[in-house]
Amino acid sequence: FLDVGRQFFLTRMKSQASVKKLPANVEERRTREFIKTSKAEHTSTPEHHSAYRGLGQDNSFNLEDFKKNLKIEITSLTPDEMVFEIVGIDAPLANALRRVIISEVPTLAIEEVFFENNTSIIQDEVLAHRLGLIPINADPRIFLSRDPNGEPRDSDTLQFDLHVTCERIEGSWDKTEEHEKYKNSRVYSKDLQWQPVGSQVNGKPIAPVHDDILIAKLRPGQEIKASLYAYKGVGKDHAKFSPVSTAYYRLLPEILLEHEKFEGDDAQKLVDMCPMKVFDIEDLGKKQGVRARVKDARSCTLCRECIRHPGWEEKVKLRRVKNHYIFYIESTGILAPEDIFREALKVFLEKLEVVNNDLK
Amino acid sequence: EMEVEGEVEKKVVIVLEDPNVPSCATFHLNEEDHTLGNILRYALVKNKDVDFAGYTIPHPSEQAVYLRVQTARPDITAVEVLGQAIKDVTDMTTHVSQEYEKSLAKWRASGR
Repeated sequence: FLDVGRQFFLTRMKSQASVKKLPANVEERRTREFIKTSKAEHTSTPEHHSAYRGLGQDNSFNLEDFKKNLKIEITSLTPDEMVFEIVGIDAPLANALRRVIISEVPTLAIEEVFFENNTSIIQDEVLAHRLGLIPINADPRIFLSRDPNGEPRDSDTLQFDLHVTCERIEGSWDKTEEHEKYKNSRVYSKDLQWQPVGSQVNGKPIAPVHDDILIAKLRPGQEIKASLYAYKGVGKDHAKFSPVSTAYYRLLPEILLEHEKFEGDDAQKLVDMCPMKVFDIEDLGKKQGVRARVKDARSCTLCRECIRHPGWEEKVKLRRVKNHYIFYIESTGILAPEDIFREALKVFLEKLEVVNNDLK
Repeated sequence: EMEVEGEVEKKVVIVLEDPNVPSCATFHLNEEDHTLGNILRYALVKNKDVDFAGYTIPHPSEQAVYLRVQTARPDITAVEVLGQAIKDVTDMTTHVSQEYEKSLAKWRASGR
């Protein structure tokens, strides 16, 4: 009996494409997180297909509706950082992409260091660790992953030489400054000499992203001579391979004011108390006076200063829009931030394909 | 790395409670974590033919995800429904990718 009832209901629901026309208060709770002084309410989005069955709405996955509701817009793009917004996706997808950006987009970094001589006071392993963390400006997309059992090749390995010897500058006994007394007392990332092998000779010259990373300090008589080999890897294996210094997202804040409550003095108080200058005064002329309005909700950091004072929590509705993600991607300089996201999408699709193939 | 002493471990191992009941199964996904686990669970739960879907990571030291699926009718297999979920996530991601390229082009065209 129950199954017949369910079948009937499901057939009825097939004609309804997606969640439309939910009562306003339910829709508010479905799409917004309410931020209170000591907690956040309605933080989880009902995901189940039958979440709104009682209200006659279908919450199941609908590709057409997803496509219709999805909006992506780039806010800013520099060689170092990209800020962009995606509207219309849910947390699992946003988080999956964030995780892939951080830990599964490959990069090249120094992995093996062969020391011929290290008489510096930096231990071999410490030096090797530091060398690994130096971002290397090699396009990971044109390199292959190294076969762990095979020999290194020009298609999967980069070789660098590091050879620095510190000497005393002649006749500098009366000097006090390091650069006046010693030659090569500081080893910088610019001292890494790339040794092109095979077909690499024709490619773009490869070097660390930054010249001025201090690797070690030496004194006269100390020498470092080593060969360094860089391979392709992912952040999951070692954070040195992550293409970003970080990547994160936040949800779009939304602030609703009940205007009647924010006139006159209260309005000015509100505008002044916000450290991010989210609010502004609107002058409505002599008859209506001044009132506060939301100027820039996007810069709100949800510090809750505007709802902290007694009574204000009812007057200021502080929310987050649950399906509006503002992404920040900070590149380390190896890949441009816009390329990092593109690669992340590619890697994610490949992961799905691997599972799909094995499933079949 | 998935190689274990010359033997390649399978990515997906399907564990059926009862071979006569293909509508309920637990999928062991090797070398995976929340990145895929959560999104596949989400796509499964949004599928009308799915009664139950959940995932867990048995131990954080082991890179494995157990994904449990139970379908609404005995003639719908868990494998079928997981395949549909993968397709749904793939379709979503492909569309995100297309819209992203469009918005990048728009950004470049607008003279930054």
